[in-house]
Amino acid sequence: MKILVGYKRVVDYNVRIQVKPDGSGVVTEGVKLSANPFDEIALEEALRLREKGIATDVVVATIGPADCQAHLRNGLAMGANRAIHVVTSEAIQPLTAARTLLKLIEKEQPDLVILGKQAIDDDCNQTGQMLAALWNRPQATFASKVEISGSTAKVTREVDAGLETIEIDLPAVITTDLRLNEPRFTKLPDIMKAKSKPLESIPLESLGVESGDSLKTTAYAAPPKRSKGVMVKDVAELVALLKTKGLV
Amino acid sequence: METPAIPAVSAAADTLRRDLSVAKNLFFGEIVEENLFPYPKMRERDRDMLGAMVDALDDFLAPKHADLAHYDRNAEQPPEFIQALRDMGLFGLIIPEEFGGLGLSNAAYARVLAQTSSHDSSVSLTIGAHSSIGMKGLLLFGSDAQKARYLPRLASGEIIAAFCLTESGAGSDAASVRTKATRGDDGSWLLNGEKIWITNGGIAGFYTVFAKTDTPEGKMTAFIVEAGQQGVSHGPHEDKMGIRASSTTTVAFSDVRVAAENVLGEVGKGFKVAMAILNNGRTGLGGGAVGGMKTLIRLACAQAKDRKQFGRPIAEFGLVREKIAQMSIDCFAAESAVWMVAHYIDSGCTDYSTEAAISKVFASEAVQRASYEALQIAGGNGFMREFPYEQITRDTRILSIFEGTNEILRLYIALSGLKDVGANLGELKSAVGNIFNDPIKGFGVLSTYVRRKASETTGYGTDKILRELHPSLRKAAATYEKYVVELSKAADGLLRQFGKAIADQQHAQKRIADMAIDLFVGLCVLSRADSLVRENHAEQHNAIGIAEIFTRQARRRLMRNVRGMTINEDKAIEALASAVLEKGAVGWDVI
Repeated sequence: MKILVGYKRVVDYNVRIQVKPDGSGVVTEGVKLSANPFDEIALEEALRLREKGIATDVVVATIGPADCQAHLRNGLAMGANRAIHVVTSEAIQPLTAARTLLKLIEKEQPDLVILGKQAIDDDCNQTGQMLAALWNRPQATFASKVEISGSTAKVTREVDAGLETIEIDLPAVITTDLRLNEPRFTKLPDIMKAKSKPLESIPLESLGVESGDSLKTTAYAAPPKRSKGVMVKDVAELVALLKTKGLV
Repeated sequence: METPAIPAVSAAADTLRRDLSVAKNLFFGEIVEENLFPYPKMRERDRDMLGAMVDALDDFLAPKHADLAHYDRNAEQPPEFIQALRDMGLFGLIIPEEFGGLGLSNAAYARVLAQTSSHDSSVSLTIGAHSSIGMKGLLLFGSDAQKARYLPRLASGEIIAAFCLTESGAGSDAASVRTKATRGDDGSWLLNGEKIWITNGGIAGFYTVFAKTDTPEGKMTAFIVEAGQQGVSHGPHEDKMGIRASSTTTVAFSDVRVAAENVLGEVGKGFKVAMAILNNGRTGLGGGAVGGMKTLIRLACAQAKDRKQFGRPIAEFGLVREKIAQMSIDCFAAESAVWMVAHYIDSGCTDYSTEAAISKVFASEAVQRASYEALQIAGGNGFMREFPYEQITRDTRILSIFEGTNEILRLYIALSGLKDVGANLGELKSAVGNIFNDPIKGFGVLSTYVRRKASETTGYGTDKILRELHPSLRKAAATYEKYVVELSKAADGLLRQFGKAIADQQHAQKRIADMAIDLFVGLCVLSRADSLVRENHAEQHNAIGIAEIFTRQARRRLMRNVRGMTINEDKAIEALASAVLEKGAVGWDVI
């Protein structure tokens, strides 16, 4: 079984995001960039399936600028067999990402695609769903447990009402939730070994993907600072205060 | 010193004069510019991997994964944590790839230890004592058969290494070990004795042991001993002030039979082996100190910005800002010196022991100052054990004590600077050869040569560093150009004054050593700032600022030390020390 894993590079979750002074985006220069945590979980799940003997080949893929190679090497160091880098200097939106991933699916013919449920930069939570629709295959989003048997997958999903378990036919798209697993440490010798693992670069233009970008970002702004709260003695005072502020 | 020449790739290597010691040449009033500029770069192979390694270590040692403070309080790294260190590959850092290691350069290795030390010193001790000293002898002096036999298992951490030199009667005076090895008729050795304060003593499977061997070949020999051998035992985990989680024990050898093929290096050359290991391993310690400083600076900044008094964050107060700035200067300076030395080692330089000693003295004292000041900024919180300052203060205290006390290293810096002069005179070679063995007696005969040499040095001038420098750095360079001449004159003056008796003048030697430290570290700072300016680095202006401040501070110390050569209170200090020592206490009270 071959598994394709989406592996996006984002600003590290520990970094306090700063908006550029001109509002054209967030500061990424000199800022630590890491794998999207949900994608690390996706890769971990794929590696576990390989270790169980269910999968044989784990391919990590990213769509991003030329300097994403080091990022993909991290995925290889964590354990992926191969990496595919779709090179583009432009930021793309979920539909374009899904169309691009579909091209990789056509090329790689994976039995399973695992993506993070969303990336922590734009929090779109769309690519997996769109990809399944374009591919015309089943999807199991927000997975917190995955069991593969034969050509089906039993997936426990985290939904608003609690947990839902569904069974889907493979090939399919699974997107990961936080509780699916705890990603492993990257070991130093594996970082060295990753240097000689295959990493294929494909220019986005060469894939003939029709752009699906339909949103235009006009400006970025930091959320307004929360003003200081006040302590009130009792409900009566609270109500009075709300009334004077015209809030009730 | 036999160090395997690792092919160097940095730009600086092209002109590097591998046979010349920068520090020793300072004593001749010379600045070996080729060995200082441009500031060396990390080998490309290592640079590519280090970013990922640093991230991986941060993840591995993050509080949510490793309860390092708990290990400190319990004074133990649990076996599963040692196993995790093995799994991470942390025992194979400097072992060549063909033996299953990572084959890191000395510079990259020091950077890895900086990262582990930024989380916890005991972790650095466990992996550092293994690589820096425990198995370094095998790497430097081992035979092919010895390497093939042990390196793969050392790389995986299946066996952990320890360095067994120190004894109760042989600390700084390492040549006086009493552990004895006697050669039997079959060529094998019988080893008896006890070593103390052995890092990794309780978890090691591989010991590099130094023992007295009264053979025609020489007095001391290094041996490889396995923990499983009959007669090898270790004592309980020592209850230490700091680095508490790292294993420190006694290791005893009782009629241990060591095969002839387990002699490490040549019979009788044990002292040379020990010194080569220690010199080569100093960058690990220096790297660790730099990593500790970076953590302290981060903690101090967060505390200073967060803590409000008198309605303002204390980061706005001059006395707090001064500490932050000084910690940053010390950190930059230590880092500049440590990685310069690492570069010398990686490039196959043959004579770097003085520079290595300088980097160890400076970096260890710099991190101790930083831990003191960071704790001070944190105030009462700093004194509380729930904050990290007290542990860092305890952990860094050892750095000026082990791997050569800073006092011994200062004497070594002073004497080796002058010993090199003697090495140029064939007939004096034997007299100076044992200078570190016996720093007190092996000195004095060189004065004529030194006097002659020093009188030849041209006076002041700005022609010692020919490289074109940024104007601010040019001004700083002039300070070093001036004071190298002062150092050579001071050395000459002392020899005229004391002759052979200079060997007993520790106060004077300390001044000489401190001058050499300021000059070498300052030149490393200058070189690094110059390289940052040339590459238009984002930090270039800070680097220039640091170079300016460091140089002015160094200049004041240099001036004081020069003056101290002739005007000082040494006699009065000696008299007072004698009086107090005789009484064994001070004799006054207010009653």
